[in-house]
Formats: sequence, C-alpha cells, structure tokens
Amino acid sequence: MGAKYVLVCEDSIDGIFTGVYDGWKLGTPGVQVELRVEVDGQTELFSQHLTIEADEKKAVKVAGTIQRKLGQEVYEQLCYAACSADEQKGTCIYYALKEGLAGGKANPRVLENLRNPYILKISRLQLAVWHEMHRFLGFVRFRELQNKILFSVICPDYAVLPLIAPHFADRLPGENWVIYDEKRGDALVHPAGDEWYILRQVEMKPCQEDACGEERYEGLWKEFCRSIAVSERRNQRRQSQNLPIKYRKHLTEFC
Amino acid sequence: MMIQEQMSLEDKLHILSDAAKYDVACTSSGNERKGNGRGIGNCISAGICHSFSADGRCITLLKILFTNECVFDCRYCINRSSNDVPRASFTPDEVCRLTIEFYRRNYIEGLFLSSGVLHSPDYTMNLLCETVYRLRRQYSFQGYIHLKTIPGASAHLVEQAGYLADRMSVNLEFPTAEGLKRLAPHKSRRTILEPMRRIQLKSGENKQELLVCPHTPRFVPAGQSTQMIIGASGESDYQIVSVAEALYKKFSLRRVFYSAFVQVNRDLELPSVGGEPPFLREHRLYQADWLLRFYGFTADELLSPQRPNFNTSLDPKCDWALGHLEQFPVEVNRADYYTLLRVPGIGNKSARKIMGARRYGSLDFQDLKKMGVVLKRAVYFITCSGRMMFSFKMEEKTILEKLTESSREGAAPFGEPYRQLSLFADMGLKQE
Repeated sequence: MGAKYVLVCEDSIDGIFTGVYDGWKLGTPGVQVELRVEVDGQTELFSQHLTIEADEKKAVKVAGTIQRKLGQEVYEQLCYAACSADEQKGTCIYYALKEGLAGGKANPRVLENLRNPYILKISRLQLAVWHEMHRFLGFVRFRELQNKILFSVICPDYAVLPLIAPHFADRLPGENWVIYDEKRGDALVHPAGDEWYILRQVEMKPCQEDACGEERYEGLWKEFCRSIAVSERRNQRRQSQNLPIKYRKHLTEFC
Repeated sequence: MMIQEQMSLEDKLHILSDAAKYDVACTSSGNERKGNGRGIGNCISAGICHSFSADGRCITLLKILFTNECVFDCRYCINRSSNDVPRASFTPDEVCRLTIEFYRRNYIEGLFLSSGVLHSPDYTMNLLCETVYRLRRQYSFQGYIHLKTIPGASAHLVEQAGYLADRMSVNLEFPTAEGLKRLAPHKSRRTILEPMRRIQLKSGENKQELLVCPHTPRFVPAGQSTQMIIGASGESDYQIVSVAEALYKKFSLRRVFYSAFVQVNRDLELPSVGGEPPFLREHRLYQADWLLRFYGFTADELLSPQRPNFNTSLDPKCDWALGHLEQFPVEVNRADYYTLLRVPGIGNKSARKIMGARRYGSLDFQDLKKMGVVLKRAVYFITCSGRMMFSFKMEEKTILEKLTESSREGAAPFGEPYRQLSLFADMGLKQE
C-alpha cells in the first residue's frame, strides 16, 4: 500500500481550493490524497494528517486555473459541489481536477465522464446544491425592519449564501438587506449601493417589534396565496413535493 | 350587484386575485435581464417559483385582474356580465405599489396583469398600458411583467404594451372557431388571432433591429403564450394538439397552456360535468406538448383522425413507441441524440448525459442506472452493446403488459413480476 495524505481543510470553497493547491504536489503516482472537511474525523494508521489553513491567494490561483483551462461551466459546477454537505466532496474535486488536467492536457469536458466515480459523485452533488440554490432564489422572505433594512432568515441544507448573493445584489441594488443562514450562523450582508459580503459565525435575532407595520403586507400576501388556489384542483401531495415542509418554517405564507 | 363606496385594498386583492386564478399561465421564464443598478428587479431566463399554493401550482407572479367588471358574457367565465358577483377595480397606482412592495420582500417574480373588459377593449387596454408604464418608468421596475392582450384592442395599444411587457398573451380559449362562437359570443377568432399575428410580426422586426442596434428597446422579449380550455366544447385531443402545433409553427408562440374545464357557471351550452374536471386529459396534453416542443415529434405522429384521443393508461411517448416497435431497440452506445430522445423514459438530461459519458467508453445498464437514467420504461426499448437487460418478447402485447403492470404495482419490472402467493396454486393444495 502506497502513502496516503489526509488534508483537513476549512469547509468553504476557498478552503477546499487551498487544499487542492497544497495537495497537488503531494499527489504523485501511487500516493493517495484525501481532502477532508470534517475536523473530528478518525485518525487513520499509516496516513499522514495535515491541517490546511484557508488561503485566499492559493484559492484564487486554483480558481483561475480551473476557469482558464477547463472553462467557466466546470468551475461553477465544482463550486456548487464544494458547497454541498458531503464529507468526500474535497477528495472528489481533487481527483476530478487530476483527471481533467491529466498528462498536461486540459479536458474541458472532463465532467461528462460519469463512469469515473469521483466525477459521478460531483455530478450528483452539484445538481443537489444547484437545485437548492435555485429554490432559495424564490424561498427567501424579507421583512422590513423599522430602520428600513430588509431582513431574512433561511435554513438551507447546503451553504447556498455565496451562490445566491450575486442574484439578490443585482435585483435589489438600492436596498440594505441581510440574509441570515441560521443553520451555519452566516450572514449575507448587502449595504445599499455597495458590494455584498458574508459574516461568519454571528448570532442574529431581530425581535418581533422591529418589524411592526409588516403585518399589512404579510396579510395581503397571505390573502393572495389563499385566493389564488383553485379549490377544485386542491392537491396537497403536489404542493408538498414542490415545496417540502422543511422549507416552510420561514415562509410568511405558512406562518 | 354589490356596490361599495370605499373598498379596502385587502378586499380588492381578494376579489381580483380570486378572479384571475383560472388563468393557468404562471411562468416567469423566457427572458434574461440584468438589473440596471439603479431601479429594482431583474429577470432570469429559467424563471423562479416563489411559493406553491394549495392546488400544488407554482406562485411566481402577482396574478391579478385590473378589474373584474366586464361587458363580455362568455359562458364559461366567472366574471361574465350576466353573473352576480362582487365587482372591484384597482387603480394603476395600487397595482404598482402592491407589485413593488411584494417584490422587495421577494414574494414574487413580477406582475401578471389581466382584466375584464371595462367599457370597451380599448379603454381597458389603455388602463393596462398606463399601469405598466408607470411601473416601468416611475418605479423603475426591471422585474417580469406578463400582460394580457384584450381581444379587440387597437393595434397601436397592443404595440405600446409590447415594449413594456416581457410576455404577452391572448387566450385562444377553444381549438375550434365554432366552440368559441358558441361559448364566447363577444370574442371571435379574428379578434384573438389578429393581435397574436401583430405581436409576432413586430417581434420579428424587433429582432432585426436589435442585430443592427443592440440598444433598441426590446419588444415582448419572452414571447407570447396562450391558453385553451379542455373539455368544454367537445373537442378531441387531436384537434387540440394540431392547433397547438400550428400555434408554435405559424405564430411562433413560446407556450400553449391547457386548462381542464372547471365548472363555475350553470349554463345550458356547457357540458354538465359530473365529478372531477378532466385533469388526466390535461396532463396527457402537457406531455404531448413537451414532445412537440423539445422532442421533435409532430401532432400527426402522436394522433390521427382515426385515433383522436390519447391513451389514458400510457403516456403519449410510450404509446407512440409501442406503435412503432420497428424502430426499437435503440443502441445506447451509438444512437444519435434525437433517436435517444424517442426512447420512453429518456429525456433531454438523460440523453445529454449518455452522449457525454459514452465518449469515455461503452456504457452498460449498471452505468446508466448509476448516472440516474430512469430505466423503468426505457429497458424495453434499448440495448447496451447489443444486449437487452433481460429477455422478453419484443411485441406490443408483452411490453404493454409489463409497462402497465409495473406502473400499477410500483414494483421493479425486472425479472419475475411480483404477485400475491396463492395458497392453493402455489402450495399445491387442492380446493375442496
């Protein structure tokens, strides 16, 4: 059995790309490389553990190489996969890139090779993340606080904040708004007319009084959702398929 | 008729969204537009669903009528002039404010504005234009707007509206001119098809202009759609699908919607429908619609005057495949894209995955399964490197039995079909 390195990375796009950067030199033929995002994983005998600090410069280099050599589409799919909740996502991304850049020849269609188990997995992961990301373009509900800030709480399975940020920044450029991921404690902040950024590990809880006056539009919205349904077509199964119960917690019309 | 001096916004919204719900067009797709950095809103071409109502349908646009007062007396419509229902009208500013406030909170993707005919078609169309103009200019709204054309409105108003809306639609209502005349006496084929043609021609011109001068205002960038009511005028599926095909080909429509007839009025001219509206029929028509738009099928391949209606127990593609077994089985590792698309159970995504993956080596059934290709129906119509998944007789009767059996029991079609053990036959006991 050949050597094996386990690289423990930060659970973010930058963290994983840094891991790819550092792992690249180690991964000579016959050497296994594993990128792990779970910190408290079991330590294996006969493998070397390295803790990798996320390094923006290295991550940007990796991102640039992927975009240049494999194209924007591959880059986006890998970013989506990196936002998934799978333990092996880093390893899959690493080996997909090894495959895509094998022998010094870049193959922009590498992600079509679904017979490769790493790539197959990436294809599944990125689809699931893309799907949830797309859902949250619709499932975010803002409440206007008294200081005119639009505030929203979401609880997604995957870390979708960086993925939905450009969309909302383009849509509401002149508003102050915050989308808070309560599962991870991350907050996406957009000051009016400015660039968005993400705050990690923060606690946010606006109290009910902060949003008084919101009842009017919330009431109108609930009324609309009720009256737009055709009672002869009532179909709760279809409603639950399209809008799973887990997403309803923060949706005004279901509260 | 109920007359109220001051109706609250809540009441108006209740009445005018309730009155708009029978229009099924609810998509915000077909146009990609970045925000302008100053105003509010953008469009993404895939469309976005914001919620789902109790009927399981997507809520994406604020779907309302401007007014439900109407001088027309269409037999099937809840808002016909002879009905005694509460009437209400918005003001242009109320519609704008509702749209903006809902949009800011990310409740909606934009506005779907339709209307009853108040006074005259032109008067109403004018009101709609004014509202949408205000929303675009005064509120600098860049989100999606779907605007209804009022049948019989003047050409210049339709054209004006087309520069403000993303999508426009006018409902065909019935596939036959006779049905329309009988059930919608104030509408005619001419007043519906004329604006449709006008928008089509104008869009064509606009596309040419855009090539020369990219900053020209865009005219109905998300195209036109229409809607037909299913099961109210005695039409056949073949008639409906043929009309839909003609609309796609000759009028360049983006979408045709089908709406199972829900009885809201008692009327001698209307069929008295006992029980459920024809939902399954509607479903089959949507499936066929997909085959027309994305799978390269024609109406005449799917149905004929001799066989005018879809099979209720099989989807249209399966049904077609069973009638054309001479074209199967298809070899997954060699067939071109359009041939793969004709295999029941294989759609755009699967076909593309197969095309991509087989460049790296030949695929077997296990590979397909892992890739997420649904084999339930496809197994009867494909081979992998010349092999079928299991042996069966390639004839209509056998496959039909297997297909309906697997959909009935929800069990895997592979190997021996599951069945309940019989104490007497299986255990060798004899019945007394």
